[in-house]
Amino acid sequence: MSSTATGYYRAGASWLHRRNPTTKLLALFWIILATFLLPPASLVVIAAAIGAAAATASLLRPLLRSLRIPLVLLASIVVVNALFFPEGRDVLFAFGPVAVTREGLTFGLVSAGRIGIIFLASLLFLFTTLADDLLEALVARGVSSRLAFVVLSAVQMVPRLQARAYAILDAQQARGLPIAGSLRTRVRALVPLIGPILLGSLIDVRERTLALEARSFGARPRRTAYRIVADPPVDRWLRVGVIVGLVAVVAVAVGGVGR
Amino acid sequence: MKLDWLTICAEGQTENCVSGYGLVYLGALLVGVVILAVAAYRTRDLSTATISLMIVGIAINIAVGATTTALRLPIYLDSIGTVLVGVLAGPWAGALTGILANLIWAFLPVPGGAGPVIAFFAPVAGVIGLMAGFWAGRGVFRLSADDSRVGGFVALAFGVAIAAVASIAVQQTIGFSFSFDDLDSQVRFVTIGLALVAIGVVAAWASARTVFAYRPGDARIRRDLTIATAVAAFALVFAVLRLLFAPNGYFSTIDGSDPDGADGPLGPLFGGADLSGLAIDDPLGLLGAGIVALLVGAGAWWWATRGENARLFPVWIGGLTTGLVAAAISAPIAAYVFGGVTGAGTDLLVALYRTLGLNVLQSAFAQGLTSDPLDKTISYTVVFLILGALPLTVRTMFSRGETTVAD
Repeated sequence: MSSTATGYYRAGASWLHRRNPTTKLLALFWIILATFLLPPASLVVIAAAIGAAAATASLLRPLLRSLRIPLVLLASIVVVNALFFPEGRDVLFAFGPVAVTREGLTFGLVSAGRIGIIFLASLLFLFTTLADDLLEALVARGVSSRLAFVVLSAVQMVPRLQARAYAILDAQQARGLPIAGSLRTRVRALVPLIGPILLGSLIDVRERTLALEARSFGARPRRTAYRIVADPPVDRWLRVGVIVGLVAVVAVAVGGVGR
Repeated sequence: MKLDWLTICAEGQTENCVSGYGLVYLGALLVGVVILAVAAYRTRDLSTATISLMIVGIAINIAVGATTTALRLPIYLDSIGTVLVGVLAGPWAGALTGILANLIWAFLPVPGGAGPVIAFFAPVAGVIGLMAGFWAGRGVFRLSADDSRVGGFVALAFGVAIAAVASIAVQQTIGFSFSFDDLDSQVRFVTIGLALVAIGVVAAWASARTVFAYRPGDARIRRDLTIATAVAAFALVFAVLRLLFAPNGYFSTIDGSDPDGADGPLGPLFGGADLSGLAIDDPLGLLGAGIVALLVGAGAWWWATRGENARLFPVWIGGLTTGLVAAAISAPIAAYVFGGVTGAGTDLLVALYRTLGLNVLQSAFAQGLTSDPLDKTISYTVVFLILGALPLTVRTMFSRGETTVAD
């Protein structure tokens, strides 16, 4: 299945899998924008389109099964808005002091629908795109490769941190730390657990930095200069001011002030 | 081309208009994009140490945040890494850490998010990183109650206090009035606002140069921090009590005269009850609020004089302000994108605020106000403690590491 390192990706050879990651990313942005800007009736059409695309990649069943992740969220949106919509006037059912209003139900369903569709679209994107491929494509388009390094290393570090957390948990228990029991016990167990993880990771940063620099990470082929021209912060603000002045002068001329 | 749909929706209106919080959300999105662009541009200049730190910061965000969600606590604790990077490597590195951590968490099947949709909250994470860098520059994370560079922070707090006093004076005399139709009132409102900001800035700058220019080991530092703690506790409790119980405070508006309108949907539940009796008249109300606030302030004073406790006051101010800003930015996102609900334990709070008659945006903001400041204060305190335990060589490896080293 999917580990934390590879994310939600499922291998395959479908039409969707073969598309370039940036194409799929742009399509995802379009879907996000469309769900919010188009009228609510279009939500059904977009959902059907996503379902059809998933079916061509034989990912429809995993997609529908993954709906259980945001299920609590979607249910909360519908319930809270249906019951507690202050502008609701048209009551459908009433239980005692609270009542389901038509306006609230509509608002809740539309909001939940939007979130559901964005979730499905994002998940389909993640099912068919490997993080490494996505970042490789973005770097080819001009994103800084150091940024890509940060993202990929962080993705790989999360499971490592979790494994280390388990190791520390075992070590502390071997030294007599109780972790089962009341809430108070569990909260007090948190400190001897998180402390070593955080401090250990941060001290590792120093080791990692030295190792990277010893391998000339971040060395830039830029030439250094003999004469250094100073650029104090004041100059930067002055340049901003002059640019604003340029725009103002043009605006004054176009606006015909003082003519 | 007909453009009359280009007006902001009134409450409850859905046709022929642009949703108010839709605009605010787009504004927040724009803020996030701008922050990301600037931060990404500045990655060219990040040192290798900062890059390594960002990786660990992102991992810490996700790991601790997932643990807290698994424990079903009403806080998030997913910004510890962001604050840490913001303190040690500057605001933009911190902002980038927050945004990347948010996006990565959206893409990884790590428990604790509603899946990819939490990526909408990336601007909030960016702003948290920016504010952490800002506060570190003000000396908030220095590790001793006798440190001299705390003076910058105390001067800032003093400037804010002067501006608040000035605004109360203005409210009692000239009065703040703002009407959408009257251009003059708007101009006056903006002028008064700018004047108040200028007063605060001048007060802060002047006091930083004179009264709060400490030398290392100055005995006044600890005393001033203790006074500031007590005064802040007093002011906060007093303000909240006045907001609720003053003759024109919140409870005075629930008078049972309009159960379907101003009292909100809970009006019938109150039975059209008149709660305005809880709005205590002056001078008794003023005296009562004053005495309670004074007791709380005295307790804060006593707490601050013990050991190094006073040192936590700037840390908590940093955490509280960051939490308030985070709540303010995440409220329109939650209101517009999620209809006010995020699927976390905090949704019960949202339901509660809705029954009190607040609309979607206000209840999302109220829910944020309840959990975000607490969450960020805890995060700041954790980072403060971590920095205390880190060796000096590790801290000074980073560009802004000096801000965490006491004299």
